[in-house]
Amino acid sequence: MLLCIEHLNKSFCGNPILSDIAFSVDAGDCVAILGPSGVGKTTLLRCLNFLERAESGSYTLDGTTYDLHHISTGEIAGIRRKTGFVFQEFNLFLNKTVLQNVTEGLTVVRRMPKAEAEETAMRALARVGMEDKKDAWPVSLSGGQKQRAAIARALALSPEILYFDEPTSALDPALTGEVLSVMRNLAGEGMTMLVVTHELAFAREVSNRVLFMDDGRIAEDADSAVFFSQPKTDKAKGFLQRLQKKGENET
Amino acid sequence: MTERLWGILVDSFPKILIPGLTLTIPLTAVSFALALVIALAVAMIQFANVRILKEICRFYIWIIRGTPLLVQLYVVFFGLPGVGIMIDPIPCAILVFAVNEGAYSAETIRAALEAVPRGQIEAGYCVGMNYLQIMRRIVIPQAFRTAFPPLSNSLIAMVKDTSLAANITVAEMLMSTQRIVARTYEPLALYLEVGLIYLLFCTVLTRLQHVGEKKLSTYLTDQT
Ligand SMILES: Nc1ncnc2c1ncn2[C@@H]1O[C@H](COP(=O)(O)OP(=O)(O)O)[C@@H](O)[C@H]1O
Ligand SMILES: [Mg+2]
Repeated sequence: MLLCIEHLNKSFCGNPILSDIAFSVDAGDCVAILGPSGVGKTTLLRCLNFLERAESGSYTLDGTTYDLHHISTGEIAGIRRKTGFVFQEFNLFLNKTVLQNVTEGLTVVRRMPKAEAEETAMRALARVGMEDKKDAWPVSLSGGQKQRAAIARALALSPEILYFDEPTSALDPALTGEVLSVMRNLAGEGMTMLVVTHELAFAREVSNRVLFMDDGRIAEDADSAVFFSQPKTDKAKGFLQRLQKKGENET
Repeated sequence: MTERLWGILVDSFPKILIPGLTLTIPLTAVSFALALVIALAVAMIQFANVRILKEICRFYIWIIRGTPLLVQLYVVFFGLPGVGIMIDPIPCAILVFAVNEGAYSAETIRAALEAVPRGQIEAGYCVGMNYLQIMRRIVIPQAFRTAFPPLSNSLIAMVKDTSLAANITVAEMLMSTQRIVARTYEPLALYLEVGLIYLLFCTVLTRLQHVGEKKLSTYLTDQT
């Protein structure tokens, strides 16, 4: 078991958003987090990387357990060292080229010499098919290219687990494919991934597990095949039907 | 134009220009550099929401923006000696100009810092950077690009505002001109002449602004 979350609670201004969340992820898992908008999927991922502070809960990574609320800056830095985050809105550093975006964490945080950092960065860019764009400024990229660069930025730090928050939701439908195929390859290479997504095909074909969230709780935690063929809760059934119908209308 | 007037203008040109080069320009440069340091500190304190210190910064900005620059010069130069604090004219001018401009530029820089999309700060945390690293490497460079045109405005305004230092006995360009006027009784021609020299200085700065903006904007252009 690589990651284990227990009793995670989070509220905003007194409104409970996440209640008693618990799940675990094994090394090599690709876990899809599904659920309607506003149920707290983004908040959950953000709590896991301390972009939001949970009220309570425990967080075990690699055999070390931390308190999600009472945790020191140093411990947070240590956890972030082992995890990568891919945002819906890419969040590339606009004043850095694609290559500099990827080397930034290596040179500034890991204190890697520049030449070595660039080599590492180029390997990461190769994995997402962005080597030829290494000197481009982020503003000149398409959405799909931006997201692939952002994935390379996270990959270069060789994280033990990668969090994705709706990585294709801000993209033109025509550009989601290139990002999904990069993610599919990563999963195939054994990268541990936790992916919030509305892409049912990705969840069904690539992820081996599904967490279905509803109303701030994990309503179902099942193997992908089981979840898609026999969803247990009515909420999940309704959710799948709605998304499938939407998918059919689009194609 | 009479020969006499032409003679006066030619004769006075270096007499006005030299204090411009030795006083107006250095006074502006030093005051503005100090102002930027103050402004960046004040802006960052507010941006980072450091309690108490933030209140002090708001108070500073409130006082400085709410009172005339000339009054501030008088208070420091003519007023403070009354409580035993004597400052020479030039350091006094630098101090007042820097503190005054610092308050205005602080607001410019704060707005520019806030204009940098927050997501990049979060992305910085996620690759392991700490707050100061993110500010120094990601946020401040982008904020500087945004703040550059309004800061250039302030710099150009300050070149002209240094003429107020004439009121506290600094013999900069305007005071030098006034002295020549007192001798020659040619106010129109001479004040036009000094105006022209100010215009010259500001034209150079405007050019520099354009060059600077272009350099700073490379990352915003659509080229690779
Ligand atoms: N910073 C915040 N302050 C207050 N409420 C928030 C904040 N962020 C999210 N929320 C609320 O938390 C709930 C869950 O949001 P989110 O995690 O973004 O859901 P999802 O990603 O599943 O769509 C929503 O009701 C949202 O309005
Ligand atoms: Mg979300």
